[in-house]
Amino acid sequence: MTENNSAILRIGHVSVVYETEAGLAPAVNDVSLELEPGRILGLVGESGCGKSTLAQAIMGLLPPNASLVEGQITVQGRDLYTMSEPAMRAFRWKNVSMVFQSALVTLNPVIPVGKQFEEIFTVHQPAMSRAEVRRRIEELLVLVRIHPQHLRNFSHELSGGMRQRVAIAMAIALDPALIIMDEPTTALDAVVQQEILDEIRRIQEIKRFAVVFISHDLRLVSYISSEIAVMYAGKIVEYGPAQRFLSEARHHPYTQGLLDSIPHLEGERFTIHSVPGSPPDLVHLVSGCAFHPRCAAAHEACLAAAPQLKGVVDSGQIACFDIERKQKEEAHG
Amino acid sequence: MAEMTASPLDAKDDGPRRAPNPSRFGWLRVLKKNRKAQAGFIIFMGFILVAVLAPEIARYSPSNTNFPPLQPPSAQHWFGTTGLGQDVYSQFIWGTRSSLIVGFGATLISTLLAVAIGMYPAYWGGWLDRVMATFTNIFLVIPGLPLMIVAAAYVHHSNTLTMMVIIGLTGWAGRARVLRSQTLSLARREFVWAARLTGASDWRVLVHEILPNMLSLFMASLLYGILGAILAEAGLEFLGLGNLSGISWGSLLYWANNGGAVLDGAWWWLLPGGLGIAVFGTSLALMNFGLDEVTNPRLRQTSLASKDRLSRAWRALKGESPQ
Amino acid sequence: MDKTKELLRGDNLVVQFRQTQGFRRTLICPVNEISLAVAANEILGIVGESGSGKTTLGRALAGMTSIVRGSLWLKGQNVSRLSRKELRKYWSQVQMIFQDVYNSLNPIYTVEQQLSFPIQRHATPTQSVREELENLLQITGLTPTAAVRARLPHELSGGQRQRVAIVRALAARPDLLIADEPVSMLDVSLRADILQLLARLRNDLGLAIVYITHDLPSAVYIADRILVMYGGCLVETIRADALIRESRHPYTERLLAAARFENPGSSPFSGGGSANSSVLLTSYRGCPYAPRCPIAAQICSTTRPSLIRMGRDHSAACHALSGSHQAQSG
Ligand SMILES: Nc1ncnc2c1ncn2[C@@H]1O[C@H](COP(=O)(O)OP(=O)(O)OP(=O)(O)O)[C@@H](O)[C@H]1O
Ligand SMILES: Nc1ncnc2c1ncn2[C@@H]1O[C@H](COP(=O)(O)OP(=O)(O)OP(=O)(O)O)[C@@H](O)[C@H]1O
Ligand code: SF4
Ligand SMILES: [Mg+2]
Ligand SMILES: [Mg+2]
Repeated sequence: MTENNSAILRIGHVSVVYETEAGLAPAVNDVSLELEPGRILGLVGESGCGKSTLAQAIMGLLPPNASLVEGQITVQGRDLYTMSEPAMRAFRWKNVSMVFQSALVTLNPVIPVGKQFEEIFTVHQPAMSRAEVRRRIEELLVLVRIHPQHLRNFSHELSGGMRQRVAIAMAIALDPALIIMDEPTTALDAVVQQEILDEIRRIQEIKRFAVVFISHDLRLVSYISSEIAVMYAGKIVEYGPAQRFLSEARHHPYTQGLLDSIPHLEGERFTIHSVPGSPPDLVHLVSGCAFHPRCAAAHEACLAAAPQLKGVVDSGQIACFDIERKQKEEAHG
Repeated sequence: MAEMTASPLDAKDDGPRRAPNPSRFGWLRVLKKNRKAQAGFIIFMGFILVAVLAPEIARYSPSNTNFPPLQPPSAQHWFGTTGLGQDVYSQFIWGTRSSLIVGFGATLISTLLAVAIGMYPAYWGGWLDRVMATFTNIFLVIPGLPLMIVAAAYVHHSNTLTMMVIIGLTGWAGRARVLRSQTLSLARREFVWAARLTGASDWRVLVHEILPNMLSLFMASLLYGILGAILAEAGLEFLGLGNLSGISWGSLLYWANNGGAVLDGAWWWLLPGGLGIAVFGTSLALMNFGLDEVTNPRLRQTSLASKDRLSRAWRALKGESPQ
Repeated sequence: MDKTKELLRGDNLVVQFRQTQGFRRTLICPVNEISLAVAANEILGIVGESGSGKTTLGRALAGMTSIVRGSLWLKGQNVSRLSRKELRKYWSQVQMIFQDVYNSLNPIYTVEQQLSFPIQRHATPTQSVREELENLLQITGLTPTAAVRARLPHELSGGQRQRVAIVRALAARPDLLIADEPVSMLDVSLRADILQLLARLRNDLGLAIVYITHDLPSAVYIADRILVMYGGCLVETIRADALIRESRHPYTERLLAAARFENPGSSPFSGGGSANSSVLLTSYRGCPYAPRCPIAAQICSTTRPSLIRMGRDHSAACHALSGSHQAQSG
């Protein structure tokens, strides 16, 4: 990831550790990423690999037993971690907002949804009139395919997918420059999901905001993103333009596993394969490449040291010794 | 209470609402961690001690009128004497005892009512809850102090018990509403359903799943309850509607005021009652702030020490492991 | 379906909620005259749009939401209206996995504390609670189990919570498991593992599963039969292995196209607001899909189509499939 001045989000060698009873768990381990305005970065990876943790680190909302122990995160050139609490609060939501994986975070269960929506505007844009606020909210709801009558509902009266859609609408309400979406569509069916992704992309192209789109679904991410980063055990193991992941390019073995496990039509049925082996233990990380216990291509080098992200053909970057070796072999003919 | 009034924006700024260390005894940890809460607790315990040990530490009988009146503080009379020749120090000590007894007793009554009317029906839901909620709301719009005054005037010769009952009966409604809305929001949460589905009885659900989740709120409500009761008691006494033969912070103030302490410049007569209320109230408020700071992540200062420690540990770990 | 093996049957189930619209009070009907049956050992998939009433149907089947009309039968017994006491007995046979994993674990208890109660209550005498817990955590990939056991829910990722919720439901050893989006937060690989686990449990323990999802491929993958819902109504029911080839309802077709990610971004998916909520109103008379259906005719917005038998284990509700509207070529 080359130095770039226009980047809106810059993550430089960031590590985040959790303090757990068993020991330190590095949920984000030396991650560097950059995102320019108007781009969508897809972040995929296994359950528990640290996607949400990275998102919380960007928002400056890490839980108390976690700490950003290394590296720096800047949004629009500003480091949230050096800001005062009030400045940070004003910055958040207006400049950088987030769709949380849990709707519980965004939606207060004892206040009707509409009222919470209005409050976003009364707090951050007090100049707006009630009628304007109303119109804006309805506009936003149309985007996410929700009928304004639901504004009177409490969050538990909405279906799971409706809650997620309300959360999306709230996150884009103030036209922030950067939006982090943590699994925003897990409860949405494919049709609505596509419609909403299309909407997000449409307004995103107009407003030129940047999105970090977190998901466990590589197919979904390659549909919406411009770049994709694949995470495994807290590290980025592959990074590149989204087209890479739709084509027959060379991939990190874990990415390959993810690609293979996408359900595909086989005759009458969909089949789903899985990546063999069990998810990594963050507290007792194996030495070398964290994926080696599950990797078919692993050899001695993989046990000894952790591979670094290296450029490969077609502008991708992969952290894998096997790929490195293959590239070298090809270079030598 | 912070949880009830939090706007959705606050919620967002809290980030994951999972951040507050959710533990059954989170509110207890407050004492271990929070300076304010510690200070509040020490003062609070001091008052309790004074109340319990009143017979031992009061130097004279509080009703003994055999001393020279209106004496400023001296070695014999630490807080001076009243216009009627009583020892203010002894009156203050005994007053602490009866003020606290009325305060705690009234809080106990209002708590029982708040739980029975606010929490329990909220858990069961249905018509019972609707009836009780309406009842609570009606009670809430009746202004408390006038109601109390009317009730106290009606009772005429109040004693400690009637004071407790009057204050308790008028003070439950606000607390019932807070407990109700919290219970409602918890009872809707799916873990409550999950517990039921896996075989937990209603009793177990209420005691094991719901109540522990609202202990902090419950404690806060308790602290507010005590504060309110003490203030109510003082108010009634000051208006002469209390137990005039008894001695409490309120009655101390009442007699001082009626006995012309202000005109005579007998500040020592006026001060102890007011200070007692103020300092005791402060101790409750401090504990409540502490509770708020620990349970409400917005107010929590990030601990730099722990950040440094984690960074060091992380560097050490990286140094060891083959990276 | 074989009547003798029938575990759960619902006849014309109706669930309604009140909804305020301006000053008017209206009724919405997220479960509208739905009939279904689940055999022992069967996996029934329920798929449908977001807000189409899947969760509400699931909750009604689990006895958590009262049924306005219709009847529900478990092993031949009428369970439509149960007292609190009878419900507890019902729940010893029926379990539910909840959609919102952030809501379905008690925030103050560790994984072990959450799980030991159901295990203890339902364990066979030969097993110790610890062993059973260890075993369940292993098979759901919640490793290292020692560390996971001591975690509080806020220390788990979304997918890890989801698996804890699955373990809790399995620990109660139900005959029928209603799983509401049990794998929505799991990556495809783990999802496959969990789905295979559910399928295995069905074979080993004879567990029947109602698998609620918005994800058609996974439903086709795991289920024996599939119910497609739209706007609170059953629009098609079909055997899973026939769905891809034989499904006829326009909504199922569209779902299938979206699931294949066919022509991403192209016209069929763009435009059109959500008519969803108004078709749930009890006052709405037409086909719920009519406002968005590409082949809707006049009759579709005025008359609700009834389910027509299309073949063995296959029926669909669409005017275009009956003679009532000249099926357009579209
Ligand atoms: N507060 C915490 N304390 C200790 N460990 C935690 C805490 N929060 C998360 N973890 C652990 O850190 C790892 C990363 O969690 P994170 O929530 O970032 O995963 P994720 O990639 O978002 O997964 P998912 O897709 O399942 O949501 C997990 O293994 C999780 O168990
Ligand atoms: N308790 C309730 N009170 C009022 N309306 C409700 C209630 N529960 C659900 N609804 C409404 O019923 C409709 C169906 O909701 P349901 O949760 O069953 O949908 P779903 O199919 O599970 O959707 P999703 O896939 O998004 O979870 C929605 O319009 C919702 O607003
Ligand atoms: S009945 Fe009409 S509107 Fe409904 S799916 Fe069939 S054609 Fe479309
Ligand atoms: Mg996550
Ligand atoms: Mg649902």
